[in-house]
Amino acid sequence: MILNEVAAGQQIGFPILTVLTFLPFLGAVVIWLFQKDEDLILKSALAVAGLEFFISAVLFWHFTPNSAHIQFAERASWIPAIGIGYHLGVDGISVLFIPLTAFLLVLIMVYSWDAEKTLLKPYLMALLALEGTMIGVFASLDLILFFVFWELMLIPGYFLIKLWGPGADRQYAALKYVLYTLTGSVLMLVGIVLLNLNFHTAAVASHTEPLYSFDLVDLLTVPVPPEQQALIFFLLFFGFAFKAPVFPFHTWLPTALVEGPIVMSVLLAGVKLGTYGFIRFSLPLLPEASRSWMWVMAALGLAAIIYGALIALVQTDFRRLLAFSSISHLGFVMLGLFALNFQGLQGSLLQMINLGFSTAGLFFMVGFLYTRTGSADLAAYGGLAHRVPLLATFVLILGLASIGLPGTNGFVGEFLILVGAFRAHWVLAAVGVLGVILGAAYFLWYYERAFFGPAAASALKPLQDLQPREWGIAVALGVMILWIGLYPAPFLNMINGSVQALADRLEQGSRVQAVRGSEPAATAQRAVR
Amino acid sequence: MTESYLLSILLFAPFVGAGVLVFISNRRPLLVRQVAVFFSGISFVASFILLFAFDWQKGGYQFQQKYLWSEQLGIQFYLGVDGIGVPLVLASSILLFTGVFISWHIKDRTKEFYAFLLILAGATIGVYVSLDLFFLYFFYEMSVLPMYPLLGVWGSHTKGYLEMTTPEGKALRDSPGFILNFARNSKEYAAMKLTLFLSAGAVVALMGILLIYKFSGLNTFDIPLLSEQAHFDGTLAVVIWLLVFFGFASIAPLWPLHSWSPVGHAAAPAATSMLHAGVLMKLGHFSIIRTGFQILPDTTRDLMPIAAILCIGSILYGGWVAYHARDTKYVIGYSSSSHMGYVFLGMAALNYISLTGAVLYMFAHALATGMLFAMAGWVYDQTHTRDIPSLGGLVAKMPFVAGCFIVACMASVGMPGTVNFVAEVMIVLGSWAKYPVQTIIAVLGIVLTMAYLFRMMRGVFYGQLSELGYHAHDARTWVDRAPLLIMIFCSVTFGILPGRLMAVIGAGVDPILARIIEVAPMVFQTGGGLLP
Repeated sequence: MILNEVAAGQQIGFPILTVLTFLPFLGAVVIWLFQKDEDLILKSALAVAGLEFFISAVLFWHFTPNSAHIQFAERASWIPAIGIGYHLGVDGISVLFIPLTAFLLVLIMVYSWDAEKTLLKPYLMALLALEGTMIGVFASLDLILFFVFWELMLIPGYFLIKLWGPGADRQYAALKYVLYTLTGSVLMLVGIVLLNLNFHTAAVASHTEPLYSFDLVDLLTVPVPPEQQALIFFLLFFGFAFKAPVFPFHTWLPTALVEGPIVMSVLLAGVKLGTYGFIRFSLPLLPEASRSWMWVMAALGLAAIIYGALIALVQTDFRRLLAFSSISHLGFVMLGLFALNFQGLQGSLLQMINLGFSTAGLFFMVGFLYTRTGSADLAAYGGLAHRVPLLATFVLILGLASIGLPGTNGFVGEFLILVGAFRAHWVLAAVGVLGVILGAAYFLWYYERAFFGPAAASALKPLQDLQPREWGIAVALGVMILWIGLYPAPFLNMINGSVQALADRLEQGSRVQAVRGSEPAATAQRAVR
Repeated sequence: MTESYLLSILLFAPFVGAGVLVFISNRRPLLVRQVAVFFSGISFVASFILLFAFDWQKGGYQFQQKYLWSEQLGIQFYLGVDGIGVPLVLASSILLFTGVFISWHIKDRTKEFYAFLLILAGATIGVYVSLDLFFLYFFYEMSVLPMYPLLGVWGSHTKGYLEMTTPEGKALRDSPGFILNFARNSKEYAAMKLTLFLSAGAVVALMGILLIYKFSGLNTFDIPLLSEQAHFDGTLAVVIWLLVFFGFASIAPLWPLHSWSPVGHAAAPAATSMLHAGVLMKLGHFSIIRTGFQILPDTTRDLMPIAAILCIGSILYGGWVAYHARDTKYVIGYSSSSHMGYVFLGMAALNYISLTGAVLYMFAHALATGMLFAMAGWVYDQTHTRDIPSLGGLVAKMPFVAGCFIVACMASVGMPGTVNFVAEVMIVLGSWAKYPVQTIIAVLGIVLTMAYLFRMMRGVFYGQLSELGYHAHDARTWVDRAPLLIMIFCSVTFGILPGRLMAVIGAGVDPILARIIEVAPMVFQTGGGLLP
């Protein structure tokens, strides 16, 4: 598989991805230099997040749709001796994640305005650093660079859960989050190293330079021998599966989502890094292994759908319910990915973006409820539809999007996934569809009890409805949900080119396309210059 | 050519400093410290000049100086560095310079302390720049000896010792027959154990060195000459190799020869622990490369799998004990001995990438563990305990130290952005083909590292502030902050721009490996990247 590149210089005239990746870090440093003026700190953090979102919107508009090319590419030498390079670029697979992350960060900054009072400066710095690492993950095409951002993410994540989590067990949750993710990612590192060694063997055999490479574009030119594919596939799988998290590696997620602060829950549930890893690296690099393990992966997806939904059904805590619903939704994404066809991939990719609006949005709503009632438990709720009608409306809109009601973005994504699954095998679709039904069941049942049911006797004090800033967050999310739901074409066009190329590769296998010796890496580099 | 005296300057500055200190009165502690700063500063600056003046494209031994010492015995005072020596010299002088600041608040017999510290570091540098086996051994022994007074006089007892405060306890503590049992927790015991272990190891290695000298028939201790011309066959080669390997591996420390090391770390004052774990332990690996790898390349190829097996013990056992230790310095000490397993793994795989990674890891680990020991020492000075369960919440009292501690933990774990990460990737990359099982164990060891370091961090800095910490204060002055900042700066800078270090190390690794593995090694044609 040969990916052509369009350099950032040609396309937009400045290294936009570098700017996007490092602007948040720069912002964090600037905030660090400020004194204790909280208002100024908040405003500048919001300004940095806003500027970041604006630049990501520029990226969005300048991206050429329906193309499988890597765009806005930047290359620099870093540690050439072992083939580590600074290589950034986006294609259809990664392009939507960057504006999504920046969008969520703007909402998070607005949310933090009212919600966070303690240690404000380090809190905002951690959030900005987290944003930088996430964008770095999506922009990196060199696997070590990707791994660098992937690991650095743990540091702000750890402290956000540990220091600002409302739960009593937040220390435990933070450590669990780090240790689980790290276990997966060190194994992933071995997988990455094996890919490089495989490239090395091929390069030595064909006497081509460079001898070592961690660059995705280079690695794609060399087919991985079938006997090694399964090993590398599972090493990478651990890294992505722990992060995603895929059932049965999910146990850290409910703990982290319940014990951690709302903003961390928004990012953990909204930015689907683990499944992005599968579609970015596992599928294109290891198509044969993906095909031969397809049933296991799809079964894990189905298990997650059913298990997550059943557990969500019996929760009384809204955050736990959302955590398990998140696991269930990730099952859908896995199912679509490992349907290994165009619709499945397209649906999964879109659904990853969708969940960034719906599930993450619901976490904002829980945050609003939490600040009002001091609890996320059913016992404190009841009759909320009368007490906070506006908030109740938005919870319903976001919830219906997460169920997949036609007209919302969730419907488009789930529909495409189910079509893809059906094309792979009808059983997959038949079981998967149960998840939609269960999803409606757990959400609507909870909504009925919390928002329409009789109010708890202790909770009859009057509650404020949405405040202007909260209203802004809710409206922004609602607009995105309806936009993708009613007119998904622009988003689908952006991802189609790359998804088509990936689907072709998955159908034909790596050996047919990858003919090394036609100096593909050199072609790619020439395209950049 | 002033340049060719660079190594002499680097090597003798600490010794001259120690000599000058003898003539300064202990009533002027500030002057003592200033003298120590000045002379360690000379080494510090010179070692950076060495790094940037070393011509990695030319390779080989550079900055050579050779003086005949004894013609009859064939002993020369022969200095010179190759690419392997440069990073270790750099690490030694960084840790010496920062260690001088870390020990700023030592009030008891200041001048003697600094004199011993300078001798310790000077002797360590001496090993790294000696190209004559006799002087390599000479400096090796010399570096072990100052540890005895440093531990015995300025060290600290561990918790069990301090609890024996009742009259009966004291009597018991001081009774000679009790030494095997209770006195384990005293600093004197630690000092004695360390010195005996390392001297025993040195003697074993000395036998190997003497066999090399006797049976080479060259009447010389000259390492370049021996590696070119000496040949050893059959049993003799195996015997020599085992003697030097296990002799030097005891300081490395390779499991199961490690038991002196955590005890020694725990009892030593902070700067001594830093030098000890940071560079003294690497004398073992370095000397194995100089003797085993260079003089007995064929035997090395046959026998290095021993190290590949024992390194699992180092990694897993060290990590396991570190997870259960209560004493902060025990945690770091066992973590060091665990991390030395990675170096042995990289050495055992015997290829270009893994050996370069192993040497880079020695440098990386020196900085990371140096920081950890420096801060464990700071916490101990402030709270007078190293017992993790009785500490807690210190972040409120010392935010700066806590922040640096987090960075040091990240470096030790091998977080991307620190030089440890680059080294780890190279070890994994190089070792996979030969030792996949060990490689998997090594990466899982990283998770273990994260677990015990975070556990320690949580216990010491977070949670409820313990009463021992009520009067603790942060590193406020630049004297206290500078050493931490220097080490963090070096770790991160070389982590992001490892190009030059890697090129230099590669230039040293290349000729050594070329004689061990038949396949032509991958020569560094691509150079060093951003900062060549």
